[in-house]
Amino acid sequence: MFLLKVVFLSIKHHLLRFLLAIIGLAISITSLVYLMSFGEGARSLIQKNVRAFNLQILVLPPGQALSAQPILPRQLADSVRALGVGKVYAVLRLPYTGGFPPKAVGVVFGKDFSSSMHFLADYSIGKGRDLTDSTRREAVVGSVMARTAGWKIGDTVFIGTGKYVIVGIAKAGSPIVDNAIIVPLNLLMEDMGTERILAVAVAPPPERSEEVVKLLKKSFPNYSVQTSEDLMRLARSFVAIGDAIRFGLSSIALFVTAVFLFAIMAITVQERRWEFSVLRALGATRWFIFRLVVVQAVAVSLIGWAFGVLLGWGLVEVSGKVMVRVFGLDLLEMSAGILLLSLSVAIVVGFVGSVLPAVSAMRINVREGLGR
Amino acid sequence: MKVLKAEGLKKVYGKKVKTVAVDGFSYEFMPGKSYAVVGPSGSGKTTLLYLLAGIEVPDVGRVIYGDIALFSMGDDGRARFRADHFAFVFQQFYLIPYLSALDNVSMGLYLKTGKTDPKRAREILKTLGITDPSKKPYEYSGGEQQRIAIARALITDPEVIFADEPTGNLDSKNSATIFKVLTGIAVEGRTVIVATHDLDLASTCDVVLHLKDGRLVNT
Ligand SMILES: Nc1ncnc2c1ncn2[C@@H]1O[C@H](COP(=O)(O)OP(=O)(O)OP(=O)(O)O)[C@@H](O)[C@H]1O
Ligand SMILES: [Mg+2]
Repeated sequence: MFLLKVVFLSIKHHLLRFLLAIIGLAISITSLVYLMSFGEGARSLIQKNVRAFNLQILVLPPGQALSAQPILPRQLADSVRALGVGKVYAVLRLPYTGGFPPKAVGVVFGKDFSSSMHFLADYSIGKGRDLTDSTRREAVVGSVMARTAGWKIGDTVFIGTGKYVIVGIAKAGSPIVDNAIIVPLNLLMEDMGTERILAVAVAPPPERSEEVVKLLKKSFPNYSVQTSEDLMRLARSFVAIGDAIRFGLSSIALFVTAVFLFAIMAITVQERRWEFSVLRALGATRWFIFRLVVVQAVAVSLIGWAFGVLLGWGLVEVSGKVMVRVFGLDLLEMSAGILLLSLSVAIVVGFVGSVLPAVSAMRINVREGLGR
Repeated sequence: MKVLKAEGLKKVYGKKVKTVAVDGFSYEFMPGKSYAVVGPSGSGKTTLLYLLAGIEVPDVGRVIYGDIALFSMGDDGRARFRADHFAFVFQQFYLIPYLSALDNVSMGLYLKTGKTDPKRAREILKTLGITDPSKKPYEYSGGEQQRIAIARALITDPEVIFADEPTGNLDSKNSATIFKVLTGIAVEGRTVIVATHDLDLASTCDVVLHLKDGRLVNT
């Protein structure tokens, strides 16, 4: 404790100089936190997205993940259903942008009336009623969509060439549900001028899922069969590559900061030669002096880290809010992982920036340090 | 009763031009006694003190304290030994500028035990006439600063105290006080070794050692 007190008083004594190092660290930690939060946000978005759907397995066009264009025949859903593999759902969706200037951003989903499940997880009606008839031009909208677009029950929504009357507003749930517009699948296909769908979602009974995957792969060799885990894994590996790149970017700033800290520590040690010599004369070991210097640099780093994390966190929150306004989703997220990563990075910077000055401090010739 | 024994100490400085700072110094310092080391500038007083304290390594000779040969230990071993048995007072006081008087004194004990004892630090400072120990060194007068430095030395309860021209930066009144304190410490059973220019003050010590060109000339 006393040592820490000494270290902090010494930092306070040379505050101006250490302030530069602290600011440098704060800035690079801020950028680290901010950049890494993209990956974290993307990861949790993927997780939320996958969880937002009632599916375990997707039958997709060969060699593809979810594409933007519907290219699978509608009948595929029936063929899959005929295998008796559980609940089956034909998937079709269409991005939606409404209003001028566009402010209501969401996704239109087709409701497959021939399926006994709903494609969206935690979907339930908050106000009004659900869709009841595959031939009626009716829509249920998510609560966020309704709010941003200013829709009420009875209003009309235009999707492509089609026109739907809002009969219900979904209860607030996952972001997917909140930003969804649900209309009957066959009417949506009509409006989009297509006979095709994006994918076939399958939700087998949990104990049969492995067997069903095998069966689907055997039965539909020309299609790609992917489980939700596969999709998550694929998406995560893309995010991981992004993480590495972003970490690389922020390590440039961190490297510069470490060099900066090194310069400051070297000056400090030079200036405090007499101080270290006095301590040595009074009985401090060389290891004690080494520790004193390193602990000081790490303390400076940790102060910088604290500011950087606060700043980065604030930035993540603020730009997350902006993103939700503009794109309807928040790609940024803080996590314990980012805190830990930035903390260990700060400690490493403090250590790397001070090892050499600390070695030179512990090697000071006491007599010379004290002046003759 | 531990005796501090110097045996044929020799220290040479410089590579091309060699200066013999201490030249064949042998002596036995007894506990309970104060010693003044006097001599002209460059006669080797500081070098001798640093050798005796195990800060500088002699080219020839040994320093034995009790039954321990100082230079049979490594650098850090001698540092720990110093913390355990010795203390040092400097001409420039050398108080840590960003620590209060109290913390400066605490540092002395921390280097020995890894702990502090603010209560005792306060007491020692008080006996030396420092009643408000919360100020930073520059807020004290020179005489007060040197008394704080002596408190920093005394808090470890050292057996041998080295003081290198402790009154070199003080006026005569403060100098007399410091010498009174130092010779008083010896009476408690410690060994006090003071290097000084001032022969009057030196004469207040029990023994006066005269150095010339690094040699002991007479006592
Ligand atoms: N690191 C060094 N390198 C070279 N010469 C040195 C070194 N340290 C001391 N000397 C020389 O050793 C001699 C003794 O020096 P020392 O400091 O011990 O003398 P002193 O008696 O303490 O002098 P003063 O009264 O001025 O303090 C001097 O000639 C000095 O120049
Ligand atoms: Mg001297």
